[in-house]
Amino acid sequence: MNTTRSPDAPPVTDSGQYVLRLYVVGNSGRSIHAIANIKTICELYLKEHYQLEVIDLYLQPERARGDQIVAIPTLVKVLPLPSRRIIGDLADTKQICLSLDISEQVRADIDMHR
Amino acid sequence: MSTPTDTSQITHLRNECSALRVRLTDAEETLHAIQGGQVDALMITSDGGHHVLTLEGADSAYRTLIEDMNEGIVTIGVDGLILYSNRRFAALLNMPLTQVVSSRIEDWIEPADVPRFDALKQRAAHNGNGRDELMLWSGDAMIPVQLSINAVRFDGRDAFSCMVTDLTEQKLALLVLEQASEAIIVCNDKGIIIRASDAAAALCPGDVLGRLFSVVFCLRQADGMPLDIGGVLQGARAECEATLADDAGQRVFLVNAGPLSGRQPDMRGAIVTMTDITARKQAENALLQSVERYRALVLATTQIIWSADPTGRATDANAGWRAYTGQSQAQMDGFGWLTALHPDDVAATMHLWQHALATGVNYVVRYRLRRHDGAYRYHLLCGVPVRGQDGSIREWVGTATDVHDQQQAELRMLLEHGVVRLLAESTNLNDTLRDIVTLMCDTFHWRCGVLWSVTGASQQLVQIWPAPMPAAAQPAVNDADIAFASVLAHDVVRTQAPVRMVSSDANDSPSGDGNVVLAFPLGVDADVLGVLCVFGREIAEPDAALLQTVATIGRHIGVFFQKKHAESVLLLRERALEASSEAVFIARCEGDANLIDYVNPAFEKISGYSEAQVLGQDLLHIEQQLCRDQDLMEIRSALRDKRVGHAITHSYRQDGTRFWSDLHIAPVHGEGNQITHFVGIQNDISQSMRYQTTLEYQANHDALTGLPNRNLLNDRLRRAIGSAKRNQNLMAIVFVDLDHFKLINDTLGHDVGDVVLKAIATRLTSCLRDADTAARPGGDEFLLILVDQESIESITVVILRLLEMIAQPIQINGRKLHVTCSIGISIYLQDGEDASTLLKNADTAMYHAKENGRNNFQFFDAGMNLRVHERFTLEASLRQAMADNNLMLHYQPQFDIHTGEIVGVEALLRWNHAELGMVAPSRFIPIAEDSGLIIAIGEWVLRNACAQNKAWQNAGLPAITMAVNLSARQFKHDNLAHMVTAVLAETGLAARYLELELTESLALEDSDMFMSTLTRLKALGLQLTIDDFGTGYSSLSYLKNLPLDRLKIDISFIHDIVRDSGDAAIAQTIVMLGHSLRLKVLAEGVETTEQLAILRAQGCDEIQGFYFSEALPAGEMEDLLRTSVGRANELLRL
Repeated sequence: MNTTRSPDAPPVTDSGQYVLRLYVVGNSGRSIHAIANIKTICELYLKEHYQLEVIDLYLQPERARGDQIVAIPTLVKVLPLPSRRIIGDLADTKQICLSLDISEQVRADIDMHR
Repeated sequence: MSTPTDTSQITHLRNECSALRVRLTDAEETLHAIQGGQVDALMITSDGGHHVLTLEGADSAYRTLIEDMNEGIVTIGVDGLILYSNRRFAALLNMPLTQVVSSRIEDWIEPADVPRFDALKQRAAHNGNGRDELMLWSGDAMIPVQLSINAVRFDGRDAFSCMVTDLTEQKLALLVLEQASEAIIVCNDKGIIIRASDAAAALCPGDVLGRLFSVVFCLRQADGMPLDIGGVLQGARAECEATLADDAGQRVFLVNAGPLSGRQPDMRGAIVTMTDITARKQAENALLQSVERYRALVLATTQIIWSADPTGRATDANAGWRAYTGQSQAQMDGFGWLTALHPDDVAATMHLWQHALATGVNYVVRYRLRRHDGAYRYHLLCGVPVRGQDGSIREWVGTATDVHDQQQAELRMLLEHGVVRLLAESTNLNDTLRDIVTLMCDTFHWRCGVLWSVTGASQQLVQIWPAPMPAAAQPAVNDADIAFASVLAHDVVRTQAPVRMVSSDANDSPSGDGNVVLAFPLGVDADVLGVLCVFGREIAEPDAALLQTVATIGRHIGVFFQKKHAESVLLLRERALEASSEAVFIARCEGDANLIDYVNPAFEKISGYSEAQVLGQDLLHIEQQLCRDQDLMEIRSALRDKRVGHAITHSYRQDGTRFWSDLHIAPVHGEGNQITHFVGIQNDISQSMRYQTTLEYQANHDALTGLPNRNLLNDRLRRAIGSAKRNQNLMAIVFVDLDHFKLINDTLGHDVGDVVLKAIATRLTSCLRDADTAARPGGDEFLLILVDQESIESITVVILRLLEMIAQPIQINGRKLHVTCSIGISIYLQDGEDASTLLKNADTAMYHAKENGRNNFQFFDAGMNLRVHERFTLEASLRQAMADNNLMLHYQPQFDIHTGEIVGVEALLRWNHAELGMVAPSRFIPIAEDSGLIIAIGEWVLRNACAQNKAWQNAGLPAITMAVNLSARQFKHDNLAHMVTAVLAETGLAARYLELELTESLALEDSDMFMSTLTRLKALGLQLTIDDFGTGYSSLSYLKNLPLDRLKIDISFIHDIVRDSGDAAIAQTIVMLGHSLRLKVLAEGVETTEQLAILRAQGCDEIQGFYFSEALPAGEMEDLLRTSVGRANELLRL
């Protein structure tokens, strides 16, 4: 049995956990914005139910292959399935939430908590 | 109907369609996003792999980051050209950015660091990166920086990107660390010191960096446990007080240790600070201890500590006072302590105490405190007031220190100085000793003292102080004291040690507790020169220091006694010198000179020179003024050789008067055995010299005649014998005894006898030479010493003259007195070697003369008498013969060996004695020579010979030469030439017919005189012949210079010419020699035909001898001359 986990394999998570990958290049403008925005969304709506990995393709260009990244920044929702990718600086929170299947109910709950 | 396969295919297709739809949607969205400017970069996948394509504008964040970064960023080409620089780097360099870009980075690096920078570049080129610390120029200053360098490629071009970090702040921080006053040590996680402040480094010798902290700093905590920083390295903190183990606990440190909290492992470790808190700790401890300490001190000290209330009453005292004085607390309370003071000191102490109490000033007093054993010892008491807050005196506290030994030492020193001063300034012995005794008594609180000196071998004590005087003037000492002390003094002299005694007689003791007497010896080494007794009330047994002092003083006084004694001796000697009648002088030696330092009055008197005239003058110079120089030889050499010298000299005083001076000088040895001075004594011994001369004369001379007496005669005789022995001279002792002198004395009286003796003495002396001696050993005897005599004959001549002189009549009172004497003679060596033998034999000879009828002389040797008598008889006869014309001449002819003709005759003297008949010339010629008759005889011979020759010539006979012999004595006679001239003139004979014959020995005797006489004779025209040739040692060169005509071969060669070939050879040689000098050679003594033949063969020119004819009287000679020719021919023919 191979005990080492492939970096491209979906991480083992609890059901309902979000696994997100954000591909960036250094501190280029949109990358920085993308990081900041997704972090805000995650903190805002997903609380403790997410894993976010930021991958700098300057430093690890080979990682682009696994998720077939073409444009940067790109956010990949690995889980829950179906996987989904969003390109850009992730500024439109509503659209992002929609794209990430973050339901109204979830958002409502979260809003309530807020 | 569908199959499962169909179903699964449909499902698959549906799924694939769905997936494609998703991917399409993704692609659409991606494209849309790119078009919408939502993307910064694209991922390009090519053969070379994946790389990022950054879209324009996306790196503005990088630019901002770089430009605004707080580190300097530079891109340089491989050649060091700065291609890019951010603002921070330009700011670091303190330059405008425009000037930085396109400059070379080496221009900004400290030149010394450039090689390191180059190395860094090399490293980066190989390894991709590198890092180092360098110095950069920032305007005028240098700043430390860390430079990180990476090799990069831009568009295919190699370059380096550098990041430059300013380390100034860091360095400053390090500097602060290093120079912190605390010891700060930084260790790494292994506990190894990686940084230490200077203060820390100073705690340990050597380099601390790189060593284990626990080894370098062995810290020990207060409980003795070592301080371990292991816990600190694990993250704990520690704070404690500790000492350094190798600092012997001298310093206390506050140690603060904490972990270094770096994130990186290599930044972890510990930081330890050590603060020296020794002083603080000490202060704390001191404060803590002082109170207790003082308490303990007061309790424990043997020093006396006291306290008193403001009124001066003692309130408390420590054990020291009670232990010392033996007083109880109760006894000393209040003013009870005063009873422990010496009674004499109480008043002064109280006075000062009251003064201190009144004024509140510190109280200092020196008094004698009685020890528990009764001994009083000096103490120095100090007291200070203790004041309250309001300034009022609450109490007095103080100490009392035993300063007795110190005080005594001071007193002793002062005393010693005082004594030395008194002795040094002393003018009067008694006053000085009184002062010394007084000073000693005052110093030691002794009541009085008595001083004796010890004199003489019997060591008698003489009381010097107090001087014997009425007791009233000496109230302190009474007779009983002195009597008692004198007993002790005798003990001291005997034992040479101090004695202490308590007198039972307490009558003079103020306190009534008896007199204590102490007696000390005074002296140098073991020599007790004096004794000092002192009286006192409490003289303790003298301790070593006191004995030492007294011994020192005793020595000073002893030396003083000795000095005084020496001075008095010197004074006495000086007076003796001054009073001496002998001249004394002292001269100091300075190089070769001896300069007079001192002369006594007698010198001035004797020499006539004053002291001022001679002081500083050279001794020899002065003596040369005084004395004859030749008399000073000995003195001069003595001065030169630095030894004793003595001379008796003829001297002259300054006024010119003569005196005899007896001069002694002796060197004086100074220190180091150097001769520093000469002392001299000079005496006028004129009078004693006169006495001595007279005495000597009287001792050696006959008072009546003034002739040497027997005493001097013996001396002269001894010397004469010595001289004769040395010089091998002839010496005679002549005894002269007056004939019948007793008869004169008896009949005419002693006065007449004395006159006769004096007259005889005068006559004897007149006959003698200076070297001879005439002495009168006694009575009518005289004794003569005739020295250096030529011959017995010359002695005889003197004796004959003596006889003649004495025989002259003596005129006495108008009367003529005829005195004769008998003379005996002894000759040194043949009649005796020593004086007594010679005297005895002369005496014997004199008796023979008496026996011979007096008025004659006798030699001791009978044979000599005979010869002498014959000779003198002969001489007398010869004189008579001269007078009576009893002498005659015979002539021997000389022939020419070739022709046979008579060429000449030799005149030969003949004496026809009336009694003796014909006397041979060999007998009387020596007498004639000795007696001087030869001169007269010689002249007679010459005259007669010349006259005869002239007569023959006048008679018509053939002219021949007349040869006449000249004696040495004649030849030496001054007027020989004159006489010859006179004779020739008188007789009329032509000079060429006269021939003078000289002996060869005469020719050799005195060449100068001989030559001149010979030359003068030759000048007369006569002929000269060397007679007896061959016996002397004439040299050819010498003969050559003589004006000769003929050589006569000595008869001895002719005599043996036939038998002795040697003689023949000599004869032959003489002939050849003569001929070579153009001289005729004549052979005499020819007696035989054989001789004649040889001579003829040898070439001899002329001959003479019996063979032809003996010497003939004039008549016969004349006959021969007439027939000479025929006769000779006849002879020659044979």
